[in-house]
Amino acid sequence: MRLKPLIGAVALGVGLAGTGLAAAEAATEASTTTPAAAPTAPGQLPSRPGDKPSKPGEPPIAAPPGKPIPKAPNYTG
Amino acid sequence: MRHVKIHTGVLLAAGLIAGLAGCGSSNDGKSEGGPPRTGSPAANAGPQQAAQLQGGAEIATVRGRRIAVHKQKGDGAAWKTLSSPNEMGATRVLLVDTKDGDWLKVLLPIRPNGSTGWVKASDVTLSSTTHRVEIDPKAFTFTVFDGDKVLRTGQVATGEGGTPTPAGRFYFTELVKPPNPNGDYGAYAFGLSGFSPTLKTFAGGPGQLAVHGTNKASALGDKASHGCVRVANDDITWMAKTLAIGTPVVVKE
Repeated sequence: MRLKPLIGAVALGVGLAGTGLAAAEAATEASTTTPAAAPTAPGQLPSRPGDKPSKPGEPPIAAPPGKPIPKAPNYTG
Repeated sequence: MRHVKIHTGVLLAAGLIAGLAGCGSSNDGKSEGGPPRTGSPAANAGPQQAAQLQGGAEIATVRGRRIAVHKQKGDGAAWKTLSSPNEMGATRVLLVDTKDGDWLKVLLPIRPNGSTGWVKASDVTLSSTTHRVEIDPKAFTFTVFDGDKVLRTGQVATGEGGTPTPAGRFYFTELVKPPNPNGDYGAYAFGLSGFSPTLKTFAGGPGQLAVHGTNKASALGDKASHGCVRVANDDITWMAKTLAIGTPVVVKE
């Protein structure tokens, strides 16, 4: 007779914990989604991972831009 | 009966706390616009100069179509927003000055020269380079280094008296190929992150500095430009094939 409320409370607690974990997993998946890459001008690749091996845990070595932007410059000359 | 009620209340509270704790773990220690958690390993490591991490420089390439720049690490509101591609049509890159947890202090391609701001590390892709360019305006020379090794040296022309080439630490923002390789800008032009201290506009542009080739090789070794650094066409062609966008460029005093 006295056990019924106890069992009910435990079940509620387990249920809430499960809901929290599921929400956490969903949020983690959403936050790890890679954002869409910006449009890249012809040849404007600041880095080409794989061109040169980098040490583990370090960013890849940046490569030369390759094809430049064909444009009339307006720099200070 | 009274004991049962008390136990029930305690268990209900425990269940609620457990559920909320599950939700609260969703950010996995990463901040969402706030400062990095002081308890995280990255925060414990403290700020680190990018150059010390790599023995070179780290380059941050903007991942989206714009990036929010904050005045201080952890500021909720953006101070500035920079577009990508940039005004010249190249993917926006920023030179990393300091790494601090989930935040990067970067050198900004804006006036005044030397401006810095903070961006979220998740908004960029990092790459690195051991290359750097040093300009010596007194000797009218450039030197390209790979770490401590000298790769190439050559002559430069710098700004004339009224339009000097400012000293400072800059970086390449884009590589442009002028339509006429025999024109004033030579075969190629690397835009710089710095600006003329005296020219607010030039040829319809914002007075941006550059390292570029020339059709007047005889003027190298002297003050001849409006602030840009001119080099020989074979030197700028070599640079275009060797140096990445984001490579640091130091103009000495």
